[in-house]
Amino acid sequence: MKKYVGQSVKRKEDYRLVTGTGQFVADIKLAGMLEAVFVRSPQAHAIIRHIDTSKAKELPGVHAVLIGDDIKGIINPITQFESHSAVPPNVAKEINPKIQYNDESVLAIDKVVYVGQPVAVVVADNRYIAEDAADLIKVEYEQLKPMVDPYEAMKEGSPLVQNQVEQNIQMEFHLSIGDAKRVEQQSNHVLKARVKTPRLSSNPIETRGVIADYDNRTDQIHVWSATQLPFEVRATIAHCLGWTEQNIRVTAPDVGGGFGPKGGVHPEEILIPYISKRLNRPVKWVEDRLEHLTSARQSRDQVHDVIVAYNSDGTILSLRDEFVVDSGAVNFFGFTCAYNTAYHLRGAYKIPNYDIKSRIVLTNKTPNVPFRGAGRPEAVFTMDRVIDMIARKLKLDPVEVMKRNMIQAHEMPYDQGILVKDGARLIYDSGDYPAALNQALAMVDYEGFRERQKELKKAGKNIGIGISSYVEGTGAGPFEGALLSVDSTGKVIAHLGASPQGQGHETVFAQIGADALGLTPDDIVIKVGDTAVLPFGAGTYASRSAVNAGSAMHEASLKLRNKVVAIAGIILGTLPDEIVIEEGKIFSKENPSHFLTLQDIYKRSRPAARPPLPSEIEPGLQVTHYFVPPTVTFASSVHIAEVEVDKETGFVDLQNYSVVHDCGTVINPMIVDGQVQGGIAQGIGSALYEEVVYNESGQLLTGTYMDYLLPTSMEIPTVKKGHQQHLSTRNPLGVKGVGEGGAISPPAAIANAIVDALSDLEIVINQLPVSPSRLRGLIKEAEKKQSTILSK
Amino acid sequence: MNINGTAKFNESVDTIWQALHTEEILVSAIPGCQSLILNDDVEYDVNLKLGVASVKGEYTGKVKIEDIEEPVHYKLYAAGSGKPGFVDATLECKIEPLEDGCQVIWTCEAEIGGTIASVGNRVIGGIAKFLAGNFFKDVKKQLLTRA
Repeated sequence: MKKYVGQSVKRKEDYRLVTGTGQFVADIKLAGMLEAVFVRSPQAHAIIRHIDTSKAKELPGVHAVLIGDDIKGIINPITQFESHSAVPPNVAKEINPKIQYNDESVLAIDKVVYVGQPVAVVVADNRYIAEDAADLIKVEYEQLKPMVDPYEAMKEGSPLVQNQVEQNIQMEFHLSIGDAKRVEQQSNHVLKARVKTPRLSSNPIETRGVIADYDNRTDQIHVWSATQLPFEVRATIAHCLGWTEQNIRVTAPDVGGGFGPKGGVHPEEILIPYISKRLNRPVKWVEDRLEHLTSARQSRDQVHDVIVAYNSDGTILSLRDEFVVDSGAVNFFGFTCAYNTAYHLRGAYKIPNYDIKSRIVLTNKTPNVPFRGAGRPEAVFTMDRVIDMIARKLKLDPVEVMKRNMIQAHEMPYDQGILVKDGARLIYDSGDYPAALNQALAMVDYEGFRERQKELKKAGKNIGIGISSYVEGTGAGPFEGALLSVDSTGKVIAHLGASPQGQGHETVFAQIGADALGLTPDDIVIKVGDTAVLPFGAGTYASRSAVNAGSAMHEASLKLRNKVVAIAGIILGTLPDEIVIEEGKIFSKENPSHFLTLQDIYKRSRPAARPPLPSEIEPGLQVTHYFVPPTVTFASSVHIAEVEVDKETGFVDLQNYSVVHDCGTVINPMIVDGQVQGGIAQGIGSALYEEVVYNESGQLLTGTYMDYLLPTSMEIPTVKKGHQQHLSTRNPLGVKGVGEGGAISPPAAIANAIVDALSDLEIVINQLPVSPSRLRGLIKEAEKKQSTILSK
Repeated sequence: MNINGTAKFNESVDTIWQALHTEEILVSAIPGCQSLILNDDVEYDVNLKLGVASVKGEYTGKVKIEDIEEPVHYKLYAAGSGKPGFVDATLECKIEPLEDGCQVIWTCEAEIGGTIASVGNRVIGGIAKFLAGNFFKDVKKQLLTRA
């Protein structure tokens, strides 16, 4: 019965968050707690000649100073996260991956490979002393040639970022169906383009932070971390330090945004626990904003070289793409982003001949990890720019080219002929992409816009409209669990492995449980972000929590309900099938006025209750369910951006932004709308403002928000939202993920809109962000070209 | 980063050459200079306290003088580092006589790294030029008070 699923139930977590009583890592204070500060490399690529820590160690109040030499052979380096990087055997057979081992020591040993890499750590009575002591550490470097351009890095004989990674190519693979090359040779229309997406920083409102508290008596350590993946942090600490995993408890308290980079385990999450045990004191480290922009993992940074063959009616016959991922100094996530790009690139389109080669290259920059969309925004920007370029070459409306190539509703479920990253066949389970496009076009009055565009052009105003669509594999496995129990007050306590960073887990999982159990969301207490209770857990990333943890919650709630009605049947003397649970009242269909509560059931289920339960019913009210999805489920969306471009300044005014999206069953419309709006805000940032810039020496030039531009509420329009609900066929709730979607399409939609606004100049925008200076440059170039043509 | 400039003086080439090689003058003229200690004939240990944008800190390093053609030309290599990052700079100075004094024509090539690059990149060129201007102004002032 659906009573709460589908309702905009107010978020349970908001009271504490908006009254400032949330607890983030920085808020936690423990008796006798010391604080740590890291000394970071100012060099992109250099040999460490000498480190002098003597003065720092002498400073009163300093408890420990560690450098790479102190942990050599003691702390294992952080390696690829196997839970994300493992290539299933059938995928390996299809893409023939070549992988070279790479890692990062938690403190640089012998050489540094990126600016911001931890070189030393100081632990002192407080942050002030630790910062002063860090100042006293002298490091002598001998510069090596930094590798900044991935194409340069791949050249034979180039200096190596990691000595064992030949030609700095950490991984490469090749995926091919049909015969793209042959089709190109036979086609009259072939388009070639280079499409680039910049390196980004994720900028959560809360920076990273770690506290560790070692207990000598039990040999246990409690670690609090602003992480998306408490279980991965636990496993990595155990791996790096060689500790018993069950002696490590990782808690993610309130976490203020993650977006991906808080899902990669960082060196600080290993070192702080290590030092806590060594000193037998609690130790805290909170990242400052400068450190965040320099040292927190970054993302994106792909260059695509595409060759596309198409018909004169706009039908795409083949697409070939060779793309390079600049992963920075380490690649921890294997083929995650690159293969996401490869298997998402065709999106809602049918392209029978498809050939994609990917190389993941190491350079002397901060290491990359997945970030909201994880390889999909890059794919969609490439694909939808291709659609738009084809339309303009053929002088067709882009909508026509989209429709010409789109998978039709009657073709669902649609097999794209390749494999998903998890090894399952890439089959879109449900959706109606043409209907989404039509609904979005109606929302923006597309025809009306075209009329208005013509009128305004006469008045010298340049408005434009741009469209992007995507199909997104969401709800990636491998699994998520829920452990439910009832306590003496009759409350249901649900422990889940997926931990939130603001998504509203405490609310939506209570909604799901309430419907399955016949309770209200207030009767269910959701506990998340702790490795202490559930033996297994994954985390929150890849738009997966509602799908995986939501389904686990649903199934566990049904298991609990079965037990409750069995016991209620015994008490009430009826069959379990006759039992109804409504708003917490448990009664026989025949006699609603005589009801029990969960408290009554709890009392009767206790061990040694009188009279005893039949022996086949185990005492206690506790159930566990692990949900394992068959594969990802496919959410989809159409985005439309409307812009006005000032030709004189290159400034883009984003006037309207509209979305039609399908995330299957909507659990909480308010939360879904918030996710979409927030995702689009980040997408707009990457379209118009954001770019991590390194100079030719590998020095970061965007270390503050004066240089790394973020959109504010002033730049983000309220997005017009339209919904489709094509239920997922791959989980009991019919849900699809929605967390990342908003961020995927804005770069393509906005770039297409800008191109449309300047259609008479025939400019091509294949590089982000479309900053005023970059756009003004393109306009100037186009105007010059046109005037030369005219003068001839 | 490349910056350059010219500073004019009323004094003779020899006087300016002398001034630019006198420790006491340099210590007070170099912006933020805490100490300047001659190691051997051509190398100094230097300690600076400087703020660039919001990045304040102390730098220690070495200054080496080469290609000396007294009194008209020298090259100064400076390498320093501190918590805010590092600076490697080469300063080339030419001193030319003028009718009523002389001028110092200088060009500077500098590489900066670490926090000063990531935070100060936008403004560092301007600041460096400003600091260089101040340096020569201060030398001028000191020569006047000494005279």
